Amino acid sequence: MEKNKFEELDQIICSKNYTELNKSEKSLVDEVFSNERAFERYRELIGHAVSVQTRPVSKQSTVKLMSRFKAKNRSVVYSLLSMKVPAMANVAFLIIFFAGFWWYTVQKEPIIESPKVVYLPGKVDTVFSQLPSDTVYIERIVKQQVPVYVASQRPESPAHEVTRGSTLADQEDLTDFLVSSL
Amino acid sequence: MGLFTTYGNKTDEALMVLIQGGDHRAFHNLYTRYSARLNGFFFKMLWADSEMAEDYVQDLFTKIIDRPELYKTEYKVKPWLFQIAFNMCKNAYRKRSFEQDYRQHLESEGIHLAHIEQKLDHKLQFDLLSQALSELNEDQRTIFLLRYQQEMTVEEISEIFEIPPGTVKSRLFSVRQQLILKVNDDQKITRHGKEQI
Repeated sequence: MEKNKFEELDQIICSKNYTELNKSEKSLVDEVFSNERAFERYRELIGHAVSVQTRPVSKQSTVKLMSRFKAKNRSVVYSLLSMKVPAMANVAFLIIFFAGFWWYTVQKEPIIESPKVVYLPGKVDTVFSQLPSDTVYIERIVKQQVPVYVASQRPESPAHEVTRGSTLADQEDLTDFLVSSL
Repeated sequence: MGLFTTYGNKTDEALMVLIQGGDHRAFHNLYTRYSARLNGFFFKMLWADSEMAEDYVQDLFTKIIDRPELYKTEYKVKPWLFQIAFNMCKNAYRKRSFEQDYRQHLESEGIHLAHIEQKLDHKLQFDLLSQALSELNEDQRTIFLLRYQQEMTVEEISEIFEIPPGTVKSRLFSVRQQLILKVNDDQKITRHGKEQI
């Protein structure tokens, strides 16, 4: 039998009894099988194969596999929730959590937001700018104007008048006093 | 995963991708689709031993649970599953062959442990299909069951055996010729078949 008749014969075997075959089909079957009985026996064999296509699996196996699958693919949240932790660790965690929460809410000063309106031609928008609360600007004078005196306009010294009329001896005493620096 | 996802409409391939993501409903759906068919296949491949067949189904799905990454998205699920099943059967045949050799060795030493095998053989001779399949080698038996029991296409079988469809056809042709010869000549099959009916 040629291989191209393979599919055709397969179709006949799976769908028809010997009595239902037409003339050409019968000749094809007779080429392959020795008699009608052999053809029917072969059909029976194929039919038997199809009839045992499925066999139900016990529920126990199904349950085992499902629980195995679920155990392997537990979510992270479930794993965390079902994790066994000592009671002391739980208490310590709660204490640290609440202490941290308290520190955060008490210590942190509120952020002051000051709106600043900026004009844009054709657009109006609001820009919120924020300045750090601990920044301090100090103004100080680093340069100051002072009055300037011109030497030529200085008033004459009255000492010239004091020496007027004094004797040389008086002046000598004065000189000694100044030089000795005593 | 999605609580309202309709798994029944999803393809096997889509289910496998969900299984890789840990979706247990997808796994249950795929298991429901194929467990009975694979059980039927293993039953006929493994000497009509129902317990063994069920154990093998469980082993196969356990492999999928433990190593879902073995499935690649370009694979078709049905041929892939049956390819795994076929490889498991080949291992079983190899193991059986060692056991038989060992038993023969023991028997030659005068020790008889054959009561279990005799029981199985007795069961086989009342099964027309098993009788016919026992005449075939493991590759021929697999190809016959995949084609006529599991009603798989030539293309699907070619994926399982990783051979061209033309080669599958010629192997099927040779299997059928062998079985037809058996049916034509061997009156034993006919007699046992009648008894079964």
